[in-house]
Amino acid sequence: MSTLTKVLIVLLTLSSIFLTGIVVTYVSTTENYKLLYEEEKANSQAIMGKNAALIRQRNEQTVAHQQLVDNLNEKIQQLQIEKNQLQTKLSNTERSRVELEERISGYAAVISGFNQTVSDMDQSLRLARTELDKLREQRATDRQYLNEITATLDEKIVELESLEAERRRLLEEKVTLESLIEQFVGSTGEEVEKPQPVTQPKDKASAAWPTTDQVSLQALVSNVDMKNSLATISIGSADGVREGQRFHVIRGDLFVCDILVTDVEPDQAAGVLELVQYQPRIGDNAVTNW
Amino acid sequence: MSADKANRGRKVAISSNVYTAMLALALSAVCATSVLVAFKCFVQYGIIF
Repeated sequence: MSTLTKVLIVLLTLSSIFLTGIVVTYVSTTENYKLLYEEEKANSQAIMGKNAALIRQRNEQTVAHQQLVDNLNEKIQQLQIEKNQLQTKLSNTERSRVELEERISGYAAVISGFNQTVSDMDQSLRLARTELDKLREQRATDRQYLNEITATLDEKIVELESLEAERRRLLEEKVTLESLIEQFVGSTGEEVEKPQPVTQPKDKASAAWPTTDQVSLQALVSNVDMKNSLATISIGSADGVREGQRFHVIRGDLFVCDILVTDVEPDQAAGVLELVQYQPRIGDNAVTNW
Repeated sequence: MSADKANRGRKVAISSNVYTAMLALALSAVCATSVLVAFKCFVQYGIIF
């Protein structure tokens, strides 16, 4: 065996060991690409599934979002309508407020007037109290004066009674003297002239009676004949009713009509209805001075 | 001259199986590597090649 062959054998052996080492190292350390592929494929499928789920979820959320947007739009429209109504109410309320403020200002003016009136009335009350005090003092003075007058009057009455007793005594003496004179004259046959008093007696003073025009006659409507515009009242000539007299028929504070008296009887009177405002009824008051 | 003489004139070399063993080692390494590669391919990809 030649040297060259030996060298080649050695080189072949070394190179074989070297290359087999490299191959073994590479094969031992290389990755399992199939397994990695399958893993990546599974991951990809999972991601695709997740993507589909997310897309479906996104679509659902889009639909829900659209519904929410529609609902919110409806709510916005309703709120817009309510806002318009509230603005209308606000304007009405503002107008009412202005009216109330004007009314309050008017009431304030009225209250100030009332306060002024109250202060005036208070002042008048004070003056009236002062006047009342004066009148009380005057009344006390008058009462004292009245007592004095009463005492004087009692004295005068006593004097009057004594004078009356004196007058009776004088009358009795007069009668006695006249009887004596008659007896004396009767015995002589002469006629005696009747004596006349020197002072003429005065008429007694009496209060003047008021006229019927000044007296308020009050009666009740006793009969009504609206067909002929006639009415009858419950008093007559015995109470001072005269023909042509006018009675005012009233019902409470309400003026009903007038009755012009045309026929008078002692206990009742009849007349024509005038100025009829309401239909008179039996029992209404009829007065002359209202 | 005879054959013995001719043999005597040559340098005597001792025969050795070292190089045969080296070749056997190289062959066995290549075979083992091939088996390993084939096993790995079968295990990972299901086929040898």
